[in-house]
Order: sequence, then structure tokens, then C-alpha cells
Amino acid sequence: MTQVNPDTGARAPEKPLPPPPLSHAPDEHGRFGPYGGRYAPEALAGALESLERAYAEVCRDERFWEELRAVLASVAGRPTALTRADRLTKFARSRVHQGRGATIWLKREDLCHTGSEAINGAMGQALLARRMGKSRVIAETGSGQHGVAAASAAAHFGLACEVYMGEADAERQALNARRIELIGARVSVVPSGGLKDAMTEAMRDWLASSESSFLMPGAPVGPHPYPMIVRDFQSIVGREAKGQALRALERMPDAVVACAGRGMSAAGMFFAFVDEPKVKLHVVDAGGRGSGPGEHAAALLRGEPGVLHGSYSFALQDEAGQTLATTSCAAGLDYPGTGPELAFWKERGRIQVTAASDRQALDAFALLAKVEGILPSMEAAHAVAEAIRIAGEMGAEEHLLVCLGGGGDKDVSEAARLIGS
Amino acid sequence: MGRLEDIFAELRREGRSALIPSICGHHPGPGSTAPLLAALSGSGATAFEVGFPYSDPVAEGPVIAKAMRRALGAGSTPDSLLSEVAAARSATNAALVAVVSVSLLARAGEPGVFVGRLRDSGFDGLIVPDCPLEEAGPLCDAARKAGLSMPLYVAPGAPPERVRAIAEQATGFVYVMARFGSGQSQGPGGDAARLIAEVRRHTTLPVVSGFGIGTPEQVRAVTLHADAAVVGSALVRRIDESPDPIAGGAALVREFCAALSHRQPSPGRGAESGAHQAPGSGWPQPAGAGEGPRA
Repeated sequence: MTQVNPDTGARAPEKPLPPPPLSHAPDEHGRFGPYGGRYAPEALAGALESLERAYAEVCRDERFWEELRAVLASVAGRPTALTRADRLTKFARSRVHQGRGATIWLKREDLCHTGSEAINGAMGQALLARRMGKSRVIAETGSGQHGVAAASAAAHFGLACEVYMGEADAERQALNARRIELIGARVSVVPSGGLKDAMTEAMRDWLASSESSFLMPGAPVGPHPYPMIVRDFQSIVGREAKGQALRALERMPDAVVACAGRGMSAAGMFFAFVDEPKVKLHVVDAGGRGSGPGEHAAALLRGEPGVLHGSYSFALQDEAGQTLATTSCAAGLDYPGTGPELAFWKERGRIQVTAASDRQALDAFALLAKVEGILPSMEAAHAVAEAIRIAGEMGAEEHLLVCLGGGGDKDVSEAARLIGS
Repeated sequence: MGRLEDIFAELRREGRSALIPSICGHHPGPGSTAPLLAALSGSGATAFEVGFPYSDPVAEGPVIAKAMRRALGAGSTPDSLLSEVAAARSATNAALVAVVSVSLLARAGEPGVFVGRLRDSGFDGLIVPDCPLEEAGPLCDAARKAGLSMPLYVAPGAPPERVRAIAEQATGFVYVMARFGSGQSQGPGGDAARLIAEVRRHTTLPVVSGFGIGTPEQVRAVTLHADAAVVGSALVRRIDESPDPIAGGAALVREFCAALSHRQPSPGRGAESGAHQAPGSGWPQPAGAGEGPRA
């Protein structure tokens, strides 16, 4: 607003308002800067509006969050540990000059019920679904982590659950596909598809079933308000880690690392830190086998702005807008897009985006198992791989937090196959 | 006045309703769209929807999604489809409405870019199936500037203020979804007639209805109320399953056109039908549910 001097009538130059904190997103249209939005069929407008209303209601209802906290504590196993990884730190330091190399800490989401951070979003959304009177949830999964979490959350709250999974993923993550079925959910395998196709099918299912069903995405993607809702439920991870770091270090950590993919890990881990300008945030994309089209899944690093699955964000598309194929050893990162909030953070320069190749991720998978006795998921192994490099570039007095988003039991046979080949 | 307006004005003068075949461009393959449009025009269709194959068609039912995969697998691109339609344009006077995913539109750049290409290729309108009212503004503006109509969908269960906003923003016609999703299995929902009547309270634009229309009986039922029935999945399936896809599609269109309901002719109103008229002064009131065809 322009200020007018009451004496002279002269207009003072406009005082620039400080930019709103990055955490004050999205706006009421679901926009994170230019990203996000609600690109869904008109037939879903009612369902998305009632979801938005229901979520606004629970945001004002402390009982909802109390119930969620109780469930996360007694069922999901929160809080999870923040583990100082001394031997991983030692390894990272051994590769750089003396006096360099940050202390590495692991946020142990592998210790969650069902084995990954996905349980946070699944429990929150299942509770919301129950509030809305829905009897069934629809989930998509690549690695199976979100599929297992959705199935377990649905079982806990007595909801039916259908999980869409690409054919190749159902094979390479067969353990999780079996687990989902054992928990009583239905696995719908998408022929010759991957995570992208599972998401497409889940959205098409919801198009025909939104009256009784709740779409439960496993990442902050999709039309507004999903990116916001999923981020909010996942953000417990970063809030917890921040508190734990403050207690252990008596100050903020210097940097935080998470894998990218669709943004479940990164949004959950970073949200508590985005307004802490001194904390560097590193997000690690799936570098796959190379940088050519189809050889990777690094949508945030190498993609361009585009609309995929309901929101405007970074996507891997050909020049006409058709979605490109992707490659990653991590089924959960093997997706040609990313959440709109990550795109926003990238554009605002708040996050550093790099990629770890399949080879680097596999090495980190094996290394963490050996030096710390912790088996990371193949998705989290991408964050570990880059954490070793980033720690090496930091001072010895500095501290680096790594989001270990899930455990790698599901990856044992696939890793053996890939490492062997 | 554009082709779409002309066609609906003529229908109104003659007291007829129309069938709008919704085809998947380049299905079953590149090169098939031009002869298919010609054959279906010859079978009685005067307006078409032409879907642009997209890799992740969230808004389409399984039949159309499969057709899109097949077209893409055969090498279809938006540019090659535009060229094929442009070449076919002079052979038919039918109105052509492109159905394009917002992903393809966004990739081309500013909303006007792809819209301009559509106009240059001879399209008369644009439908964006994965874009709701909230996000449609910039595309509607671009379409208006390019002289294209941009029909919008009304979905069952939409609150009255939303129906009104859609009816006011749409151009060309308003598209009432007979039921959620697509796939021709269940037929028009019972509240389609009510929704069509509601839309007519807010606009003099023609109202078309589709989704789930797969039999001549359903065409007859829906055109008792709507100015046109859109048939998509049933047609694409027939094209898929026929030994001669084009002949198969043409036979279905003939059969469905024969089932169109007639209404009271409204002579002399054609010329002004493109402009907004006072509510109630334009289109004949829809026939009551359960009433037989008037012809």
C-alpha cells in the first residue's frame, strides 16, 4: 500500500513488505508460487471441495490432532529415534581432508510401524477419511511402502483398501505386494505399468467412486488440497527431528538431506526447516543409469514445468507433453514428476537439488548396512549416498541430518540381483 | 458465426437434436482420422469431438484410455493429429471440437499457443477434460481471443452456484455429464434431466449430454432433454472391434442418429442464437421425463 504524508500529500515510496515465510503456502487456490493448482476433471470438483472443507474443519479441531498423535504413538511407533551414525561419519571423513566432514545423524523412519514414514500420511488420511464417512481408501504405490502403510491404516480404522501397483513394481517389490494382501487390502496390478500408471489408475478409480471412497496419495502430489494435506501429515518427521537435534546439539543442524521422488520424504523432513535460513536443505533425485531421456527419474533436477496428475510442477515430458519413461533402482522414486512444493522451493532457491545414480544408491545401501547395521530402503539410500558427499564438504563441527525414510527389507532380493549384475 | 453456432441454430430451426460422436484422434492409427470423420459425417453426424491422445488420461474411461495408448503406440503426436485434421477440414463442414489434456496445453507454453494451433488446423472448439472451472479462466480467455468455443462440463451434484458459474463461462455449448466417469456401462443417471433444466435457467447456449451413453435407447432418452448426445466409449469400442473400423463406426453412428429425439421446431431464431438471449426466450423447454419422442 502506498503511504501518503498527511501534511504534504506527497506519496512516500512503497515500503516493500517482507516476503511471506515459505511455509505459508499454498495460497487459497492451492498454489505454491506458480506451482500446484487443481487440474482435475470437473467431476472431481465436488469431492475435492468437500475434502478441502473437511480438512479445514479438522485443522480447527484439536481432538482430531490429539487422536492422530495418540495413534502415531501407540500404533505407528512415534517418536522415531535420531541416531548419530558414528561409523558412517567416520567413513565420510576418511574420504576428505582432516578437519572436514560433518557428523551425520539419521532420522530413523525405518523404525516406524510398517517400516517407513509412509505410515504418517496414511494414518492421518485414514483418520480424515473416517471423519468424512468414507468406507474405502484408494492408494497408489511404487515401492509398496505406501501401499503397506495405507493397507495397515485402513485395517486399523476398519476401512476397505485398494492399492494400485504397476506390474514391474509388483514383481520387484513382491514382498510388499504380498504384505498388502495379507493385511487384507486388494492389490490391483496395472499391466505393464509403473508408479505413474498406478497413480493414473487410482485417480480414475476415484473419479467413479468418490462418493464412498477416499483417494489417499502417498506423496504431496495431485490436485489441491492433496499436496498440502500430505505434507502436513508427513511434517511430523521434520518437526520431531528438529526437536531432537535441538536437544542433542543445543542448536539447529547445519544441513538436512532427503530423497526427492514425489516428495514424501523431502516435504515431511524439510517443512519444519524451510523458514530456518541457516539450515541448508539438500534433496536427492533418482539419477538412474544416465542423464538421457528415460534413463533416470530426476524430475526435479532435469524436468521442466508441466502438469501431471493434477498439479503444475516439474515433470519429465517430451516436447509435446507426453510423459516420458523413467528408470530407477528405487521403485518409490521411479516417477516422472514431483510435488509442487518441491518445485516452489527449488525455484525460490531454498533447496539444493542433486541426483544419486543407481550405482551410488546401491553402494550406499550396502555401506550403511555394513557400517551401521541399518538396512535403508533403496529410496533412502539415495539420500545416504549424497549425505556422504555433502558431509565431506562440511566442517567437522557441523551436523547433517539425513531422512532415513524407510527400511530396506523389501529391497533385499532386488538389491542382491542388482549388485550381482 | 462459427460452425458450432450454425449447426445448433439449424437444429433448433428444424426441431432436431444431434449426435456428437467423440472419437479418439489417430485411433486405430495415424491416417484413420480423416476418413473416419468423412464416413461419420456421411452417416449423419454434424459435430465431432476429437480426442488428442495423451499418455496419462486421468479423465477418460478405460475404452478411450486404451485407444489413446494404441494411437500413441502407433506414433501419434499432437502435431501430426493437427496436420491430419487440417487436411481433412475442407472435406467436411462438420464442427470439430478438440478434447485436449491440460498437460498437452501447458507443455506448449502460454494457453494461447496450442489454442492458436487448434484454430489454424480448423477446429471450432476446445474441451479440456482434466481442467475444472477454477483453472479454466486462462484457457477460456485464450479460446475467446482465438475465436474458438470452449464448452465446460457440469457434473452431477454440482451446487447451484457452480452450475450457474459454469453456464455463464462456457461458450459453444454446456456439457452435462450424465454420470461420473466414462465407459458406457450404466447409461445416463436419473438426474441428468434435472441438471440440464437447471443449466438452461442460466444460459441460452445449447446443452449437450454424454458419459455413459451406449445404446440408441439412451440416445433417445437423453435427447428428450439435451440438444445433443455425445457418444464416446461405445463408438470407440465399435471401431476397435469391427473388422472394418470405419464402416463399423459409421454403422453405429447411423443407428444412433436414427434414435435422436425431435422437439418443437423454433423457426426464425437461428440468426441470433450466437448472442446471449434473455433466459427463457430461447430454447424450447425440455420434454418431461418419460415422455416419448415427439416426432
